Amino acid sequence: MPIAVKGNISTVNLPTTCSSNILRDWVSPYDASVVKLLKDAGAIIIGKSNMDEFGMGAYGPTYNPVSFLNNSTNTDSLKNETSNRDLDTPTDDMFVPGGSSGGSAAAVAANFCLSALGSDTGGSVRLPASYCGVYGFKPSYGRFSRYGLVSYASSLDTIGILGNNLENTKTLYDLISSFDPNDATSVDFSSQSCSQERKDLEGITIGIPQEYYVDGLSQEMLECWSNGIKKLENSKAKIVKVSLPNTVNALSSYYCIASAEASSNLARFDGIRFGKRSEQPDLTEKHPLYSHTRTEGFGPEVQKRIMLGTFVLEASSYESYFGKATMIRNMIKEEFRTCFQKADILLTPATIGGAPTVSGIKINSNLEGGVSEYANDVFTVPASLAGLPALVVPFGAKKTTFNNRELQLPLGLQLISEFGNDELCFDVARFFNKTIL
Amino acid sequence: MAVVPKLNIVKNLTKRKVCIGLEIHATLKTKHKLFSNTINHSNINFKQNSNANLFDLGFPGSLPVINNEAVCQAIKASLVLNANVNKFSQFLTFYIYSYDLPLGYQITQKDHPIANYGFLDIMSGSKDFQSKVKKRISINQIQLEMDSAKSIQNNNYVYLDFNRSNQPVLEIVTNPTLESSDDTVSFLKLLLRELIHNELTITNIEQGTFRTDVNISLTDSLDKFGTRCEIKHLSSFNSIKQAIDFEIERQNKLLDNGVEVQHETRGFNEKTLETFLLREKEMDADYRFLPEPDLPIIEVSDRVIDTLRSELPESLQARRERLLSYGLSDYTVNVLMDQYKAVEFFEKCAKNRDKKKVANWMVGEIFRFLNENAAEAAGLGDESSFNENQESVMSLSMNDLPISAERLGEVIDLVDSEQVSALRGKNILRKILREKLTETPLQIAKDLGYIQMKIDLEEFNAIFEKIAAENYKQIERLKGKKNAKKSLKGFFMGKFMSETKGKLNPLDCDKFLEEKLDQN
Repeated sequence: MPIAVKGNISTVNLPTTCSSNILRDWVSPYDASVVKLLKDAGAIIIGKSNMDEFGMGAYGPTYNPVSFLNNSTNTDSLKNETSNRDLDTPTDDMFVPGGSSGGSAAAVAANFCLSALGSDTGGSVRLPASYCGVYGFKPSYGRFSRYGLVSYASSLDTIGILGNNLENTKTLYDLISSFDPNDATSVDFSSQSCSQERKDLEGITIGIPQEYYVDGLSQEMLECWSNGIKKLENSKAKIVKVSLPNTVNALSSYYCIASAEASSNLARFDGIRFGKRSEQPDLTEKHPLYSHTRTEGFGPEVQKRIMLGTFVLEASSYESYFGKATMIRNMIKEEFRTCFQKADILLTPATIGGAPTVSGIKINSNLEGGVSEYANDVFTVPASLAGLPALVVPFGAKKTTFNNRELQLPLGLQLISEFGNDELCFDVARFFNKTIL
Repeated sequence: MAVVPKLNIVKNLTKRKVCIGLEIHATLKTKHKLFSNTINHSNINFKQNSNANLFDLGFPGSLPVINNEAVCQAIKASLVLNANVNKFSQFLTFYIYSYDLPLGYQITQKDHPIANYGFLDIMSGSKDFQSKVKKRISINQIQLEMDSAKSIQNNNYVYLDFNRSNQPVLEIVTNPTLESSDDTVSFLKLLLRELIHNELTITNIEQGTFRTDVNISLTDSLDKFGTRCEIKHLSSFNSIKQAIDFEIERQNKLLDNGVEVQHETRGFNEKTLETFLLREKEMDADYRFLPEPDLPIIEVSDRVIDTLRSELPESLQARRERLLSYGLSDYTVNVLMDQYKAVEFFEKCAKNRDKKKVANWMVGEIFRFLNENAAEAAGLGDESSFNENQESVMSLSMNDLPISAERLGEVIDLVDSEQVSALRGKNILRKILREKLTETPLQIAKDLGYIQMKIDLEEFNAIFEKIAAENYKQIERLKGKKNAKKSLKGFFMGKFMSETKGKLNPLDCDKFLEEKLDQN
């Protein structure tokens, strides 16, 4: 099985750069636990996929293959299109793949491989899955070993899977679900129940979080969501309304915690033991080697989050920022717990809408100073904060025109289930594909 | 020993109350490092950067995994120090940008340490033993943390050795209840003795495995502390005493002149015996902590605590009482207890032997050898006596002694059974220690011709008659002397020894002559 691996997952024979200047050409001396499991199972790693630097970004590092395709997912058309286009001069009217595992999602969407490993901290697998029209899975925190994944925000980071269909996604899931003593946050789920073959969803209750009807939810996503609900209802699932009141606070909590942990995890990149070291440290400064190496090595988004994280951990701001963020996180966990007393699994949109274009992003970020990018994570971040398993299923599309062609811009729905009950996501997802008579 | 300039400790100035609090960092004795499975080598002679794995080097993607043994050792230390072991404890990351911290932070504990509220009782007071009183020194907190790499600065380069990186360190924080340098040193000695006795730390202070930061403040007020200064990285008891005495004097002078003491971090110069400014205390903003997300919270059950408590060896107090019950002197008990594993060695050797005799052999011979060895290793000519230099680091430990307890016992038996004289017995022991002879003590005694002759009365008489016949004139002359018996005895003794080539037990001979000369 050919598999692409995200650039922040360690592999001995390929560079692990995290798409950062500071790890340019860095080849890790060891394989990540998940990579080892895949290799042992006979998988072929076809390459490392591009990503937003250190996993920080929602738009992605590359172009969405949908930009090159007709409204079919035929590989031949891809070949024709790419041969006719000069890829070195991409245009701003192309679509983004979503971040940060955009490279992995694009590789799967373009049929370079059947599935890929990504990483998901606040939606980094699920968002690009939705934009690129592929499956994207984020496990219960602790199910997949993080050993060898270059940490961004340790308490939120998970390895994730992108797959061209549900079966391939599940195959990878089965291969890498393994307790790992090298990761102290690894959880042994081996005693948990396995996937069930169901003929319908009778007895399954689907929760629809009312707070996910957010302002700015696009018309086409709203339709997609309604269709999804109908589809499951037709499969005899029971639909209930549930409430997650702190959804509105999830983003702030997430960016506070993730930045704080990022400032911590990225502190080790000092140019001393590995990676880039600045050639010209100005010896008159207090920490010349650090400041030059890190200024040259980290991109602007990473620097922004390190500074934000450093600020929220300062003694004077700790309680009002990090302390509060942790409190909200606990409330969100509690709210989910309450939801799962009423419902077995939640169905939500994965994104606000379809993938934006590069030019669309540029206009927005000029208007809002780059913060609007963070809003893309609104549906994915809560499950990350609560450590819950979530699966994005491609479902429906937005019709649009691009280069005078009619185009189906993919949309995805998200299934969130209870901690440890990852398999239920797969079980329910099957019914999106089933034709109900 | 270097010449130590006399310190001017102005006693009448210390009218202000001195408050001393300590932060002690002791390297825990464990098989593996704190958060990785690298072997925890205490040996500094280990090749540089040869004992560090991916995590010890902070490589991307590597993760910490808590070493349970280190947690158990920390709990044991907490029990020894009479502290409350917390049901839950948590690690934090503490940010310091320093070349020797590969992660860019230290994993340590703060609000939820392994244990809180312990104490040790010391004998407080001056050197004058009579005026000593028992004093309880309270310990606020006992926590686990990782060590940094070792950095050596040389010609604008910083050399880093990551062998020490991630070694488990026990940090013990006392309340500011110590009031003098003497009490501080007594406390630290007792603490170190407890840690060593319970196999919680390794013995070598010189390798920086027992470091102390001292906080000192002076105050006139009864209910308010003065501004404190912290003296960093003191590793010997001598420098701790000297640094505290200097700092008390310095702060007193400042206060006498109406100058405020600044809250600052100071170092200690072992040559000038002065403390000096290292840096002004950082502002709050420089201290950043984050609950360590890579590590779970440690949960300790009562059952675990009970099990660990049962694994602790006999307490030092019980051990002291038992040794005293053998009739050993205070001094002997102190000497034995101050040397790691000496009591175990003693017990092994003294089993079925005269305990006092064995203790004398150990204090007199074994410890003399250890001291001489330490002095030679340190390149010192003089033999510093043991009790004045209890903190001096012996370069040979009991475990490295070239003699086992059993073999020492065999030497003692040779003397006890009068097979060799006491003097020659000591000679045999010295040869085993110095020349590393491996034969049995009995064989050595035979090879050296040290075995004393056992002869019966008949043989004694025969030799006596022979000497008397050969030295008739001389004997007659001696008989006429004032102290005839004594002179004769001396004369015969000499002749007996030369007849037997010195192998005769002089005591046996003396006894025989005493009776024989009385008869004649």
